[in-house]
Amino acid sequence: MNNEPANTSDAELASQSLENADHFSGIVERYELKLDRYVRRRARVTNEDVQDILQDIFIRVYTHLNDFDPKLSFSSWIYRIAHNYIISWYRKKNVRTRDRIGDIEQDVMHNVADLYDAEHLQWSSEMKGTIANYLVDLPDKYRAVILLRFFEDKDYGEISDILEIPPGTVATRLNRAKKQLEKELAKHM
Amino acid sequence: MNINLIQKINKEIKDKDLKPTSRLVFQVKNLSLWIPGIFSIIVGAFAVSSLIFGIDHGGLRYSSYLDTSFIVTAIQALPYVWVVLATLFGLIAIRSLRITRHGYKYKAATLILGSLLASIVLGGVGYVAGIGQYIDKKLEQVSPRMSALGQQQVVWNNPNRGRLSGEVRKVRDDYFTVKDVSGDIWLVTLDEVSGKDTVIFNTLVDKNNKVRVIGYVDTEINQTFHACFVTPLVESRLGEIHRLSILPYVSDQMSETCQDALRK
Repeated sequence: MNNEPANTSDAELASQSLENADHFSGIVERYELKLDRYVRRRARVTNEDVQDILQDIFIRVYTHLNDFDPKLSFSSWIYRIAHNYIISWYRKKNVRTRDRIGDIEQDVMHNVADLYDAEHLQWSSEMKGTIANYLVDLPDKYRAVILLRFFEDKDYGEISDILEIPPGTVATRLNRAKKQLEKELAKHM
Repeated sequence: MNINLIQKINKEIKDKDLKPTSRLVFQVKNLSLWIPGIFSIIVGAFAVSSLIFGIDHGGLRYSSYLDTSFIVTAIQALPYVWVVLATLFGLIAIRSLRITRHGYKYKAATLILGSLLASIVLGGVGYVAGIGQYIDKKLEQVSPRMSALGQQQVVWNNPNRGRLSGEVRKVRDDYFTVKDVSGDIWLVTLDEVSGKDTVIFNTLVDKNNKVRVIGYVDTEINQTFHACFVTPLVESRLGEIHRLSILPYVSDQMSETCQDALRK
């Protein structure tokens, strides 16, 4: 267990880890749960897979510490590594990334539903469930932005840094994902 | 908190004696990402240089003597191989710049405009330095259709429509011979050429130079072409003003036959 002071920034922690590997536990500690959640949402994986994936991600973070760009937030950088790792993991396994939306968290669905509430649309619980089902079928590029925006609470700039796409493209993808969902939902109204 | 994961990671770091990869490795890698983009911009610059050369020597000011419009003449003047290459390498440049460290932040339009601008500026400088002409000459040796000048010779190889182009073989006081792109040898008479044009012709055109000739075919003597005016195929680079002095025009000094031929 690491005892890094809470006010030490991620970037400082990264810098300390370069001097002494023991400090790296602080980074693992801060991001383990977040990345665990992210990996489970992005990928259809077993608990064992998640552990292996997380271990590999953190080892990659450690060996790439010198590649950290201080112009980015450390959070965006570590999510980017996780995102790229998941893609390459799936390529190796030769399967498509599919979400475990079937048992997706309720709070997440509320986040997605908020998107519609903002447009004065009200959805029943049943409808929220339907949204969840359709999220499964969204193309991966749309699902990734939805997950980061509504599940991980990342802003457009952070999503742009994580997925390495222009902020305008983030907005476009979110819009398209939304429209696609709306279209599917309209069939059930 | 999963102590187990932290322990596993620490163990792996220690067991495999893992160390953060050196900053230098990443710096070199990040710099190397620029190489394809820069290479593509340079190829794009060569393309632009050749395109300017093609347009500059496309004989656009003679379009009124051709049976094609100004726009068609301009399109015909473009060396297509460079249009294709410029487009291809432009796309490669955009793709390559996008994968550089901060390239993803820029819109495709910004990258397109940026790389296009860089190619145009470099290409313009290259053209003034004579690179466009040099490349075109080399390309012509490979295939005339690939070069701007080669293409011009094809466009201008239509004696029955009053235009002829090719390489000067023999030069005499009152005639010279031209080998056109089809390999045919033409005897070109200068008796219809006005005095001013003759002087310019003599000073600018030598054996083995390429010329474009406007005139008419002799209906009685085979492979004979009466020139109304002659200009070198490669006249000058942008900015040189002596070109103005050899601008051909239908003038009263020309013979009636010529005036009629040029007005057709």
